[in-house]
Amino acid sequence: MGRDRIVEPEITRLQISDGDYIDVKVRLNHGEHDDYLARISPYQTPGEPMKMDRRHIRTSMVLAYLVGWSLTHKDKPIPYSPDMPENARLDVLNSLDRDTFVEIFTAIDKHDDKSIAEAAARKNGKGGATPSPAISPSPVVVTGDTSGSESLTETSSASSSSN
Amino acid sequence: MTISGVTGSLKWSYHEAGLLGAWTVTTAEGVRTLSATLIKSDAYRVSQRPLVFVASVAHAVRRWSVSELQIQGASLTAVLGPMEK
Repeated sequence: MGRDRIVEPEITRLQISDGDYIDVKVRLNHGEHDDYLARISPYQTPGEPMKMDRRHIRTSMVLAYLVGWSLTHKDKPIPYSPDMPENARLDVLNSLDRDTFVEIFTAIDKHDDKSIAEAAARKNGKGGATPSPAISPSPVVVTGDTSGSESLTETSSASSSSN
Repeated sequence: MTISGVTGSLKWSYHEAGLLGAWTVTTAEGVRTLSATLIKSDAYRVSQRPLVFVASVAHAVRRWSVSELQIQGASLTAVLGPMEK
């Protein structure tokens, strides 16, 4: 029996600083990945190096993965969900302070690296980590080199319908 | 009891499975039934479970689980579970 080739819409939680967290997609499916590539490089000439729009490189990855967070402003939750139009989500991201955005991007970038490594392991028949167990009784600390100073903690949740 | 709106959606987790136009939810004898116009749908996602009906009611986003779903052309009917928090 072959491996499962559909990406289930599962969400995992990444802890960031000061007790805040972000909820991200465990994996991007083909369409989401294509959307991500199209944002950073809408047009590509075959045979030529890909030209990327630097304004969108980091933001596009965050847009692709992020589905929610615990961030607040003046003690009120900052709205962010896939139910919002993409332009509205982009406006919210662009309103964040730079340190917060970098922290979110760094967490998602590490998550993306981990997701790619797991996908490669699955493809090679090495199994890889389970993408998202239904319930994770205890947080799993993400290990490896970090480009920032934050200690990232990843927990998993079941496929969520609350976003 | 009947509530209605002009737009809503069916969600498969964070994916939009269907975009709804005018909709009505009728509760009779404990059964909550959704009738709506289906504007567009993703054939794969709408076949998945669980699905959630999401709509704005009185300026607040409400969500109901979908227990049963029937689509005939642009006409959608569903039996809904309790409203989710």
